[in-house]
Amino acid sequence: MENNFLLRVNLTTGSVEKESIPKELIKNFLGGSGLASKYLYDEVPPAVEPYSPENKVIFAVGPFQGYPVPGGAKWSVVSKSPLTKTFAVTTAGAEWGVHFGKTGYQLLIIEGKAEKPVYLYIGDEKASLEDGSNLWGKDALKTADKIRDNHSDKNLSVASIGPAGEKGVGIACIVADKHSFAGRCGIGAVLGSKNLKAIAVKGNREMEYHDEEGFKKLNKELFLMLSDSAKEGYRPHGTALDLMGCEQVGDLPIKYWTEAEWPEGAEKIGAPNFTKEVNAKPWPCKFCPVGCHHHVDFEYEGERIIGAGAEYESLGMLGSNCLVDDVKAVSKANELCNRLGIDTISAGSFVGFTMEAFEKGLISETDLGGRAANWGDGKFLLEMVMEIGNKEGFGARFSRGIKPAAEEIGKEALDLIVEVKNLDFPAHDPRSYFSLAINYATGTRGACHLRGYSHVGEGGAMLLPEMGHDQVPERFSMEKKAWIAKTYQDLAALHDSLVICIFIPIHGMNLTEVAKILNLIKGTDYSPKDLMEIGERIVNLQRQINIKDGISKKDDVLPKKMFQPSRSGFRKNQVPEPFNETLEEYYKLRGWDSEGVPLPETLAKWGL
Amino acid sequence: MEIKVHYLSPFMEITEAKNEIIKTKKELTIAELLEQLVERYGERFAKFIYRYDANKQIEGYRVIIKKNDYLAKKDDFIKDGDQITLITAIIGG
Ligand code: SF4
Repeated sequence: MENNFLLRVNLTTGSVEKESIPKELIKNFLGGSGLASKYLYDEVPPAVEPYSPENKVIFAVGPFQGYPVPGGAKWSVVSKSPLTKTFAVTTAGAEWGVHFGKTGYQLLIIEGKAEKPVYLYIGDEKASLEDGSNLWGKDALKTADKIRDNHSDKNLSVASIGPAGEKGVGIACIVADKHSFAGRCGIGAVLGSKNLKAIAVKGNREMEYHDEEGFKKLNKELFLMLSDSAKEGYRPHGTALDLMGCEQVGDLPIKYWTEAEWPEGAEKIGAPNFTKEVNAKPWPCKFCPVGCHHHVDFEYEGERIIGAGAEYESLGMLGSNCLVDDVKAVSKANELCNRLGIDTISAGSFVGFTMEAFEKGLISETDLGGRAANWGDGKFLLEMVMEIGNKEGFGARFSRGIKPAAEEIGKEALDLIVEVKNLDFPAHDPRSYFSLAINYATGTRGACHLRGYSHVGEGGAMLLPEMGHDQVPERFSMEKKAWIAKTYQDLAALHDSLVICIFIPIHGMNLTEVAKILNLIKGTDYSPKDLMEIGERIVNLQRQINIKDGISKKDDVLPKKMFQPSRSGFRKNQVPEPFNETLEEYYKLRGWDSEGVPLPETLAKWGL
Repeated sequence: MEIKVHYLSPFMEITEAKNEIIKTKKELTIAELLEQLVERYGERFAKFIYRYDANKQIEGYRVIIKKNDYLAKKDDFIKDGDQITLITAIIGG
């Protein structure tokens, strides 16, 4: 194996060191978020405050980065979250993962705090801290342009934070190459607390293969199959394609999780209307035959907007969740989030919550600076996004997340919020996919549809025959849902460690082919089952970080709204019950005790 | 009998209609209706209806069918006046 190195950058001392990664760690954790989680566990003690210099941010690629594997431009980043105060991971794509993989490093560990703003430049032979004073205050997209200018290199790959990260907004994200977003958990704000504005990478190294011919042959077949699979779906429309379908099955968040139907609105903000109205064209990450990311070019209120388009999650959370059916207003809100460098999911959640709290009389126009917060008001949505990202006005209340904001308002407001461990729900409803109830409650970074995609296993978008899951289960029942939640969490941990985009397996590259590609590159002999076991080891490690941070069964809970059934629609009268019994079943499947703590024999089994 | 079939994206781009009325003399199951639609709209349509194995043989369905307000099974019978909605298995970003 190659790439067995990490780059350690201490911002306090300015030191930049290359270190070897023990082979045993790569064998047990592969790379990406698995390997990064191991270093976080070993190097960041439980009591460390997320914004303190003692917290670390670990960027990670895995065995696929640098190779033209479909969906292999992805990368992971791990830290302690300012929102959840525990383990955080988020992933992004664009070109950054490919470039970092081609530098020969698997991990970049950022520690300490710089005295003044800096950015990091990493080339094949050189890594250096550069003055970032003239970047501070710039939006995340302009930052990338400026750094490329500084180095006279249009192809330099840049991961940057926006003003939100600088100002300590707890939902600040990291923006890669202006079109991919390491969105959740606020790691952008951790970078801001360290005065690190961006990381620019240029890797050119030739990659070594165990069996290059075998790899090329299989890889070509996979590319053809995947591009055929996506050519009338995500390729032309992106994930906006799913808006109407998600609405039909009661999965889409509507009116901050209080309604189950909004067909006309979903048609307005979803594809194909979305594609036409904002002139969306594919803008794929490198080496991607699916191409869900889109470039948009449209006018809103006399302003021309060009850049990364809104995806399903952003359209759902900023749109249907707030009842805003003007696709251009929602797309403008998405662009503001991109520039400010904030997570569109949590931003939409904050706005939806504000609208509901206003409707219920828990906050007044005076609280809101003399405005109303009415459902469907696109102008209010845009104003709030600006305030959240700039930590100003009413929006500043959300800088520590939704729970502290609701606590300030009062008990009734706390009953409205939809989060787990202070991480807002993404745009999928556990009352539509019951497995998500367990998945969200136990997610190691809080409520998340990507660190466990049980809904795709439950709905049939991606079965897992290698693990015996070859039938779509009964929909509105908790039977088998604990197993699905666990298995798809393990799978997600595996994908985040390879690192491969989830949409690649969903479009048809099965686990057996993933294992084959890995073995052809690295000369390993992994079976699908071996890989799933690595995923399970990683989930247990991440849970251990949670446990040491004080997380237990008391935190594995769902918000009240999830037990309030809809009065109409596809999921009429449905709630994910029995929740507690299914949670117990999940703990047993995992080898955890009744408090959700991994048993000693479980830790021993996974070598933790 | 008459059945109203609703198409969401990407089906609506293939059928070039958001919905249509299907007239049939005999009682149909959901699976039979899907077969008829595949016959009419061809391979592009079929790709969003079925899951295929490595040998390109149909191994299951990737479409979710809503009958009126409820999730339908593929062997459910359709009655006169039923509304059927075809939804691709959802991922949603
Ligand atoms: S499917 Fe989308 S997110 Fe995944 S690699 Fe392709 S463009 Fe990037």
